[in-house]
Amino acid sequence: MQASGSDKAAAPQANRRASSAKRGAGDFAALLEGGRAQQAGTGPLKPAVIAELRRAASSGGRSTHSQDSDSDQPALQRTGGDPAQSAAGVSAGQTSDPYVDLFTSGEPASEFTRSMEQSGQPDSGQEELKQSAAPVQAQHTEAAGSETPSDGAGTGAPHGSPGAAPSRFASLAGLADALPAVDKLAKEQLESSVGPPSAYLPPSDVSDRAEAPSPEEIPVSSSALSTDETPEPSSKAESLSEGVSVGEAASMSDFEMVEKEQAQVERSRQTTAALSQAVNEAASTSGQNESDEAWRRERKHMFVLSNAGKPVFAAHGDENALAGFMAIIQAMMSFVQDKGDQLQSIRAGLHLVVFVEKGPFYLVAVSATGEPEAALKLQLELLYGQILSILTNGVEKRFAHNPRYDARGLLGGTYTVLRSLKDSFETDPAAMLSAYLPLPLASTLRHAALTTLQAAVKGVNATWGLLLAGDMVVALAQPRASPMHPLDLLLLSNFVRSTDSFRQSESFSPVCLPYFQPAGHMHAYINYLHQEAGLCLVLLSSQPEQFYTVCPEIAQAAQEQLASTGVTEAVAAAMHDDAHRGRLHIADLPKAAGGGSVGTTPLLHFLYKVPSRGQFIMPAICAPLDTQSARQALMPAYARVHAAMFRASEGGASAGLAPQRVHYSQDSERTMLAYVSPEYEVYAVYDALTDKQTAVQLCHKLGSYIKSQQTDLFVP
Amino acid sequence: MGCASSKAPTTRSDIRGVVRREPEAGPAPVPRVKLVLLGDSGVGKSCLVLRYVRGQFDPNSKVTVGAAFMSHSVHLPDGTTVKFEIWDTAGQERYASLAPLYYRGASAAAVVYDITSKESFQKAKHWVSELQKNASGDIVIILVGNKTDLVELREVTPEDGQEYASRNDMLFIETSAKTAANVSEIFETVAKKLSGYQAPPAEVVSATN
Repeated sequence: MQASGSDKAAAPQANRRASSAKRGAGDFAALLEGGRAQQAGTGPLKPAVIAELRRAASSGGRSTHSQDSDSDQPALQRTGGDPAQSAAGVSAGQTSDPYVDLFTSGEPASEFTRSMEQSGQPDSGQEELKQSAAPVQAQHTEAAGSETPSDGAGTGAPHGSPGAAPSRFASLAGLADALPAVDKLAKEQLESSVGPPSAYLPPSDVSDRAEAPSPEEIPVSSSALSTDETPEPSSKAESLSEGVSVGEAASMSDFEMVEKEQAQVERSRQTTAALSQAVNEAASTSGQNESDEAWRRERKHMFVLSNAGKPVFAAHGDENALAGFMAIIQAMMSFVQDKGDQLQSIRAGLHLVVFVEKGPFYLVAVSATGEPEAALKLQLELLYGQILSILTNGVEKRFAHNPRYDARGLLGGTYTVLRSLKDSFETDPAAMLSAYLPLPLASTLRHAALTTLQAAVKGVNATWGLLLAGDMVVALAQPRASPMHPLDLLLLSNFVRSTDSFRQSESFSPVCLPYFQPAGHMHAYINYLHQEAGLCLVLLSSQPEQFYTVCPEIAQAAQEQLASTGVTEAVAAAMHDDAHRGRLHIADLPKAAGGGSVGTTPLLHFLYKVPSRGQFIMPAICAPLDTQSARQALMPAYARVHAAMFRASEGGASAGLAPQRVHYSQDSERTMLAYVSPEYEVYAVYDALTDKQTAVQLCHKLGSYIKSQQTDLFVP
Repeated sequence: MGCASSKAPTTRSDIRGVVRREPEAGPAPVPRVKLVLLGDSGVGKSCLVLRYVRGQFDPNSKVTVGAAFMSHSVHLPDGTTVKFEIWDTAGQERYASLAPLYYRGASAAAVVYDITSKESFQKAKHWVSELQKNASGDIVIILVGNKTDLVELREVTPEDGQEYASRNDMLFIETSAKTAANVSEIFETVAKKLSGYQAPPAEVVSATN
């Protein structure tokens, strides 16, 4: 991230600000910019933050009350800051342009959000405004371009337009100011006591990717670019009436609203109230978030909040203390959403912020790991899937009934499950590959395990049966007609692995398989047959009756059978090795297949997936990849290669472009070769000096070796 | 008949909810009793069970997910043995709708509350009324006030608990999983009641004090 002049100038202040570290709201900027946030004001910090939050919050709900333009003007001027900068900051999806322009020109527009949604007429006035933002769009295009994952090379450091974002955020804040849904009194009080509200504005470039409903839109693979420049008729349409309503907004009052708007109004009030509450909570608890500094240094954050802004989950830190932070996220997302658009991602320095909306939840990842957007989106979707696996999508009904519903009560005790899932993304490519990892086991033993498992499944009339060892699968019994979705398996395995109470005794638990049936739950029986090895029997049934009474006995029989056939012993032996936990060792592979100890083979790590089996194998991480930084870099490197190869096919409407079949890249850290065919996929990491020919040869040899060993390596 | 033993066949046949197993399983098949623990989350249900079954107490014990299943045998003073199949349910709200699965067919239920939390006592009352409505009519319910080691934080008096228990024809006991006080008494009291061992109410009360 290039620092703009204003960034640098603000740096000392920002540092001081970062060190004070006790606010809920400034976090966003600091997080995005590693503390290099711009601080314009000199007023007391905490009140400023609260005021900021209130403003941000007010943009969350649609504006329902009009407000004196007089009282708005000063705030707008403040937030506008440097006009030049403001203009430069406009970089949004097509639908965002109008509001940005409105605010840089300092007009109060308390009603425009609402009217935009209602009217469908084009507006030439808006067009005009839009043009004034043209240079900005150009900048944005550049910025968005840098977002595409750079093949193999280090993390795609953004070359975005510096200084753009602060003003964009200023615009957002300004907008919030002008949408006076927050109670006026409190706002006035706060305004009188606080300094300029731009304290948290992050200097960064912003890319909105919009999913416009318009049929004219031409999606392209790097859709971040496409929507910015694609005119969207409906938004223009709205603007015409807008031109009028904007000017008069200030004098508009509640009773002028038509009746059908009242539902909206109510919703908006609720949202606003929820946000105010969240803000108040944040204000009262922000002092508790002692570990702010450490919190900021986390490489990857994930947040889940309800679309009314209630915190649901934070991978790091305390959800309650982060309520204000979540309110800002909510404000940003619902603001864009209110325009029929969706916030997709923001690139800020090394951080990529990705937004996903799922049912009643907003999910946000803030990552400095160098993973591409597609990978983070998938991870957020899985996080949502894990929530569903615990709650089923019945939770959506609760939110439909009461938008301010607090899901934390429902999720009580399962944060370890969500955190464990988030942590697994750092070391486990199962999600990316949509496949599971089998435990290597001699085929005779595997057969014995499978026979036992199938007998158990039959005995309790279960649908699925799994024999897990840690994060690996020893055997899987599934009906041919409905094999378990690999992502369901991943979520189930994580749920079982990360729930400590299952280790204490055999247990039953409802569990939903969201990719199979998000609306209902299965009954799961979980029994650790061997604690140390993490050997765990999981049976899933949809019929509870018999299930609850027969499982313990059947499990007992299975346990005895596995012990007598030597499966338990073999699994325990494989899992006993702390360094490898059942994984293959590159050192043990034949030399011809790229095996060998450190320094004798260029092969450092690989992933080998067999799509028809839905399985992949990978070796244990060993030297020289066993340092923390090398470990951390490995999965993002795979993710970038994977994203580069599959980008076209994931682009939805842009499909038709075949995914890359071969990918070779080399940088100062590693050489990567990936080959994708219908039969198998290989992703291999070599040392940085490996030439292309060697890499390809080794890859072939590795592939044929694995093929020759597949009965032992894969679950049948 | 499958559960009859040479010692006291008449009392054994009184046990309700006994699951009869194959007679050839052992020389003296032990009657099994399904007991379900209910109560708000965090009142110490799992701690009570783990203390009873394994003699362990873990102050950082894990939140129960779903329901944990454990079995344990009680030897009564009259020489008979009862095998408890204990269903330790999770207290979380999201599992409330599944509770019938666990208490269905149960011959005993321990409704646990935390003596330092009035709220958990209210929740216990809720569970009691649900059991009275939905469980089998002859289910033996014991009201358990846990955490007597935190007596200085007490919010629910023993009198309150006893009064509510008597009014609803339940057994009552106060326990501490931490100090193990009265823990095995929960199960023994239930076993006695189930097996028709005439425990005068006074005796149960005395166990609480």
